[in-house]
Amino acid sequence: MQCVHDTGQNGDTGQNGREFFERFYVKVNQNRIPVSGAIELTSRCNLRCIHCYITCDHRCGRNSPAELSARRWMDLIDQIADAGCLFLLITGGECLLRSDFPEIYRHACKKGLLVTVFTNGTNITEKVIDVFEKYPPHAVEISLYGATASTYEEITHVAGSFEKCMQGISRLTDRGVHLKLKTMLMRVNMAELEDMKHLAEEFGAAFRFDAMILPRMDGDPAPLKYRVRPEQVVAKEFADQKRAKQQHDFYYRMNRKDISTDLYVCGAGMNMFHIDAFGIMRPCMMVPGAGQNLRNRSFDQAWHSDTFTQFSRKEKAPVKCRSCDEKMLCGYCPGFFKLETGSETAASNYLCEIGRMRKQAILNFHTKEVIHDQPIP
Amino acid sequence: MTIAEALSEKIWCPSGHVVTRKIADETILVPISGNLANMQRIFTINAVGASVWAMMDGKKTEEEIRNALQQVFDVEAVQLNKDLFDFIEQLKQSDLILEQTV
Repeated sequence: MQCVHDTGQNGDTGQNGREFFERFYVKVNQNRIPVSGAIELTSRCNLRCIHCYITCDHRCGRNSPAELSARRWMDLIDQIADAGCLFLLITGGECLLRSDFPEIYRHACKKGLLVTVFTNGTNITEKVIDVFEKYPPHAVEISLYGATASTYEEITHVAGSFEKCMQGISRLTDRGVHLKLKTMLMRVNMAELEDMKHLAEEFGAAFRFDAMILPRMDGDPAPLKYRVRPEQVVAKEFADQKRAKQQHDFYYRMNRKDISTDLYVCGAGMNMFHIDAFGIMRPCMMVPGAGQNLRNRSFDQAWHSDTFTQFSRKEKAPVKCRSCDEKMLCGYCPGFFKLETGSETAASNYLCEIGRMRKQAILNFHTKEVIHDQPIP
Repeated sequence: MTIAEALSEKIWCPSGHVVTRKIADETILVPISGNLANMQRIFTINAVGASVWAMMDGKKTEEEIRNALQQVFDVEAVQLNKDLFDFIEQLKQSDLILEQTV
């Protein structure tokens, strides 16, 4: 009558969980249920990170429309839950800059949403810890930009922010809040990657890194100069045996399936949505163009509008990507392409290189495994 | 004591720690507070389990739930008793139900 499923926060959903979620997502996709969404409570941030994709004016709250009120967010959360959302990400900007965060967060938890919070960890107040303690989040993910104050603040451009982040992490872990730490790998902090991993271990937190630096949402390419070269990204990824194995297994699992030639192959518009701080709903944060304004229509109206129903089938993938078997390795994303090349159908050379190198690393990893499986003479 | 005897006059209701969601024809129990070990999990229940869950309304006894199920589902009485007993035990252990005291 009952089954218990780990939801994958510990890196594995288990056999029961995999079977359940495979069956669940088939039905979710058949019925276009918005099971997974992100809400950006604010685009403002107290840090000034060199690589941030949010436009400078929005990060500072200059020349920006008014943010949605807590009451409006809670009303939308009711609608989101009614529509079938299960996984909700609360993000920003820095979402903890909003003093009404605990109220909005609590409301989402009480609706039975599995809530993940993305934060920089520098604004952890007693009120925030109290609400996390009473309603434990599915996950809290804190961005760590370096293992030393000098590197961290070279990125955040705010003096004292490293110390505040460390204090925030300590306060949360001391009170038993389940944390994950992560970093955006850049030229500036690449040398401290191992130290950041150790720091996470000291806090008893999982750690991961991502290297996909984007241009700013207004097209400003300034963050791109901090990108790590593709061969360095892949070398760092495959230096981690667990991550290498995951990529290897993913490649061989996906390679057996037919890969769609549709432009968007992810869940954007199919089972995913994103709502920005000003109430504009899009299939994904990365998707350019006009969205649906939730100030004058319901979530349901927006979800069933052409913006969403026609989204996934509007065009075909770039020609060079259609038959490319590295497509599932490169981080293929037409939204990323648009920001980098100006067109959703013009692939990013950076991603192509990463895909090619990941495939090579997977083939080498596979060879190693086969050799290890041989009897030792 | 047999399993049939173990089913009693006890009355159950969902604990305040869980929210019931119905998504894509699946009944999903989402823990929202309480036992930290449960917070990385969701619980799914099948159609029979969902019927039991709906009857755990703070009014019906275990026996009444069993009798109601017997009328609806074509299942051996012994098997039904065992399944219901096991299900209630699992829900108790997972902190998802509370015994209603009169």
